[in-house]
Amino acid sequence: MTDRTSQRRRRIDGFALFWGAPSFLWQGVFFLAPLIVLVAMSFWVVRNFRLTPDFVFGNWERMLTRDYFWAGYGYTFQLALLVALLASLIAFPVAHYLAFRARPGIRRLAIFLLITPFFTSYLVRIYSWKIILSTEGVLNVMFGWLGLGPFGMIDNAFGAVVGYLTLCLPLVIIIQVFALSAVGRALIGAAHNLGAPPLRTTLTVTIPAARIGLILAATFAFILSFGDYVSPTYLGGGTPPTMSILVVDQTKSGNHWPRASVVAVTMVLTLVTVLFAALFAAYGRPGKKT
Amino acid sequence: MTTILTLDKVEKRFGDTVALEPTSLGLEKGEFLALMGPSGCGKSTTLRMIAGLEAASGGTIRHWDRDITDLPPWERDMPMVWQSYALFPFLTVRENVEFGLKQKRRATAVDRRKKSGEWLERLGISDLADRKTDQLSGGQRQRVALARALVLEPEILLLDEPLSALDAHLRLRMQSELKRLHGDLGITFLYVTHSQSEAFAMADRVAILNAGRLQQLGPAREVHAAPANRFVAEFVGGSTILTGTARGEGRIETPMGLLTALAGYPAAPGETVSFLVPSNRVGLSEAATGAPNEVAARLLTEEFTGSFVTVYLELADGTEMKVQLQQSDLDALSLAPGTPLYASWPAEAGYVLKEV
Repeated sequence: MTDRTSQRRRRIDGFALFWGAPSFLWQGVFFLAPLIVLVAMSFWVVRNFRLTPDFVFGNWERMLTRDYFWAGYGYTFQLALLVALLASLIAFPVAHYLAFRARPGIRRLAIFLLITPFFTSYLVRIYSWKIILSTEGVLNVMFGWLGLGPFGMIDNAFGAVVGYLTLCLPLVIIIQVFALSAVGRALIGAAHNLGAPPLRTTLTVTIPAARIGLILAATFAFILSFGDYVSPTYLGGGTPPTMSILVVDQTKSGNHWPRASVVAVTMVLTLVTVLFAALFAAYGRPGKKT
Repeated sequence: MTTILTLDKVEKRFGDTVALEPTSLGLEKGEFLALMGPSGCGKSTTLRMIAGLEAASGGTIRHWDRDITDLPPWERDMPMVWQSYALFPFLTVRENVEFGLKQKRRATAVDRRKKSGEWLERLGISDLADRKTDQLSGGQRQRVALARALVLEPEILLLDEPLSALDAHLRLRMQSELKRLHGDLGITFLYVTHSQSEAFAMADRVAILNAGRLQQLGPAREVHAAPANRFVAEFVGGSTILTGTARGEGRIETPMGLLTALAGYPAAPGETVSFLVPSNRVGLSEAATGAPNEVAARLLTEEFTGSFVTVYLELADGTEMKVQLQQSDLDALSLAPGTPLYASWPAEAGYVLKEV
């Protein structure tokens, strides 16, 4: 009896296979294969500026023992974490308003406006920040009128974070709006009814009820900022270098693709770890006790 | 009896639509009042205004002598049991029950635990205390929702169609349990439902709403026996409504002939009136017997529901008449659809409505 049911379960579903195959193929050819090449390449060597297949740990040893690598790693990780936190905090009041207070028309318009930034090139948006934030830029001129500044808002971590937020914030708001919209109105009514004022309700009911979406939004912000090259280069000034800048540096200085691969593989491993941690935080706490 | 909650000309408008016309009613301490009517009649809106979840557009709501019309919901002591249960899915059963106690900061953690334990025990869900609510059945969720509200020891418990998501068997069991709970606790229940059987089974008094207007308020028996108008009579069911012209002394001229209805509103001659014929007062025969209130009819269908049989007849003017009989009463009759029959009822059973 049990044999039969287990056999039945193992039967191949042709329909799912047919429709699922293209995406598996795509993932295989354009994600898995390059990833394998990337990992393999991190063990290759460069001779006379030529990439030569080999199996040495020299690249790993070289990168992982350098202070600038770990400084860059720490800096990138901290920035991405800060952006995930900042984006979540800045987005929440907006998303809360759009999900619970705004009229449907306003909400639709807001969602539309939040999508439009993705129409324009990210690079263009970052360049426009340069005009606003640079030492002779719009903001500093205005601060000058007040007898303040000029403030260094570019070529430092502040500039990089502004750039990262430009990239992530619309997406984080959109995900949060959908996460909060899915929270049942009755739950919020029940919290009020049982004596919880609005702020307490938000903290003890709305946020826990929307937890999965909120964590997902923050994770997106982390992943996007951790790997971004444009913001740290054009607004962050490139010092200290982030991981993405390190990758480019290695390929430019001495065509060292294997060392760049080491950085890239480290990034992939970090993102996979962060993603799993986030998914565990979002879904995997059954029957948690207080 | 003392009035614990007073609605004084309370009304609710959403833009141009009126959800509730100015309505006044008092809730007596310790009673079980059912607020009923079809969907969209304003019953849930009324409950939500009492809970403070919806702002009244006019009028005042008083709890004892205190005006609570503008009090936010979290400052009122009126826990509600929701149709959807509205349990917090990220909390365990016990945490759900303790939620209100935590907010009101009335009790220490130890007290909270003790109180929630008592109520879980009382409602027979102690075994489920550490489960998440999504692992519970509908009936179990219902109990958690009840425990969550009752643990606050409220004077008034609000119930918004709490049984409508349950299957018929469970609904009946919960009905008797709610009724018993009400008796044991001695607190006031305000119960919103669209089901007249639920309301009549449990409530001391019923208030019937239609289109935002209070139609009738009174003890369940009274509303059943003496409905105020045609809407209430139809909503309550159990009677056939006939219409005709009053000819004085209870006589009414109808397309079926001159009939007599002695109970209810005394109509002036010439007035158009509607009157009820209770379905359990009608007798059937195959031949005319010459009884005073006798009409010719045609059998449409019969419905066997266990202890009695409901027979549907068509009268001369096309009215469908409902007759409730014991199985033994039917043995003498041959009941094939289309059979011509005669229906008659005592003159004092006919109840004239005040409004047509």
